[in-house]
Amino acid sequence: MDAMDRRRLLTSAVLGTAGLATATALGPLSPEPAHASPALPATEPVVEDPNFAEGRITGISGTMLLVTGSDTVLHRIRVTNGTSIWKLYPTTFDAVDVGDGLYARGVRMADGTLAADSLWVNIVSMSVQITAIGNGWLHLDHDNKRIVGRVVPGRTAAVYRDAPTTGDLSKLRVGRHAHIIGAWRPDTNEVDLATVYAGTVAG
Amino acid sequence: MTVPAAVQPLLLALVLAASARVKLTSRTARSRATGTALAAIVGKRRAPLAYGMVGGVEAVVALALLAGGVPVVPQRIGAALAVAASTAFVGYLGYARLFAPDSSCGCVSARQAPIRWRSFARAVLLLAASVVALVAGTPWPAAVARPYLAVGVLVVELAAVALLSPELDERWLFPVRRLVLRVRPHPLAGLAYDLPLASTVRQLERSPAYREVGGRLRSDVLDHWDEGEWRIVCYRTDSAATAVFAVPRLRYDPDSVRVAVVTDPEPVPA
Repeated sequence: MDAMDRRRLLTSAVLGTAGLATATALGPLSPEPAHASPALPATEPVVEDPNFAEGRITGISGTMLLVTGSDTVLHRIRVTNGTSIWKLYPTTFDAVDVGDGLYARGVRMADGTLAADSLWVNIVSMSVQITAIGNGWLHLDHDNKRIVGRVVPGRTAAVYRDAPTTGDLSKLRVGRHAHIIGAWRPDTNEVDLATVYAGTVAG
Repeated sequence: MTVPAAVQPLLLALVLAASARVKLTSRTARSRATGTALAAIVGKRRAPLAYGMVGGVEAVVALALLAGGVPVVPQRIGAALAVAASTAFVGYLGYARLFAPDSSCGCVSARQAPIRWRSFARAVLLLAASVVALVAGTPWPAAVARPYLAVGVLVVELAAVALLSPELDERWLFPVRRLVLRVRPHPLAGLAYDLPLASTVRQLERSPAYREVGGRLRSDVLDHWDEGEWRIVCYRTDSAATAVFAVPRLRYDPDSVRVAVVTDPEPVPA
């Protein structure tokens, strides 16, 4: 089944334009296990979460990512077709490159690999001040470092205070403080902007 | 040449006095001293004290420069102190740039400003002014001989110092850039598009359908596409099924979000 067929199947499942034996709204989801997911005790923050990994990709072998953590721990992360991959937007495994940084959440297997549920590739989140705005870019000051925020047409969104998320970036102003979520371009000071939260910080 | 040279002690005294005023009177500035490169030299704990002392030295040099106007006090005393202070300051910036590149310079304002070429250019400008004042040794009251020229030189030099002060960007550079953006079309105005995914996800997360199954979702957004008035968003559940949400695309109505959970007919290898 190719991707388009799959989308068609899922669309008809949720919009109910066709009866599907495999689609049962809420069927397989009994309420009990929803509250039974194992959680780490919040009182022991020193315990390293085994179901989480971060670092930079040093190798890709098949569907296995070799990742060196910032604490130099080596992680092996298995990616499946059920793994969500974010790299500025939800994307696929071929968008992941050696050299990328990532956060991964999943389930630690007995052999030590992490079966990933979600990957966030090159994601950064930081407080900035907008120091200049140009054609397709923002100059941002973050802790005295200049960051170039790249506006990606059709992808970069803005949130002005509590208003709904919008694709309209024309209300951004020089001098305003903002919080950005974006995808860092490895080994540069450039960030492809996903969301700019403007006006959430005083100033 | 005597009049422009005579103006230099005034310029230096003004800049040093402004800088000293911030260091001596602004509690914010002193508390932020821990974030300046000074903290890398004397230690974080002693930084506020050292910062205040630098302000004291600046005030003394400013006074010595102004005292050059009194007939019995040679102008060169203040000028020599200014040369020493500017040289030390250029050295400080160089040290900070090399060994504490992330720190703020803590120069003339409580505002944090990174050390970049402008800070250096300003320090070199002040050093040059001190050297001119020292070499000429003209007492500053001599500038009165040609008041327009004197004021002109002083204004130009002060403007140059302001242009080279990153701390003052918020006062003039940002307003200028804001004005430019107001006069000309906003450079990002043409890029608006109808609906960012983040907007859909925000609506989705506020829906009863999401509350129903949210605890069972294991992945972030797997896939999404638009289908008429709906945007379809998929997640993976803990039972390795796919949770498919249909979210209204162009209206905000979380109650009408629909969900279906689909068990994959055939597992596709990644």
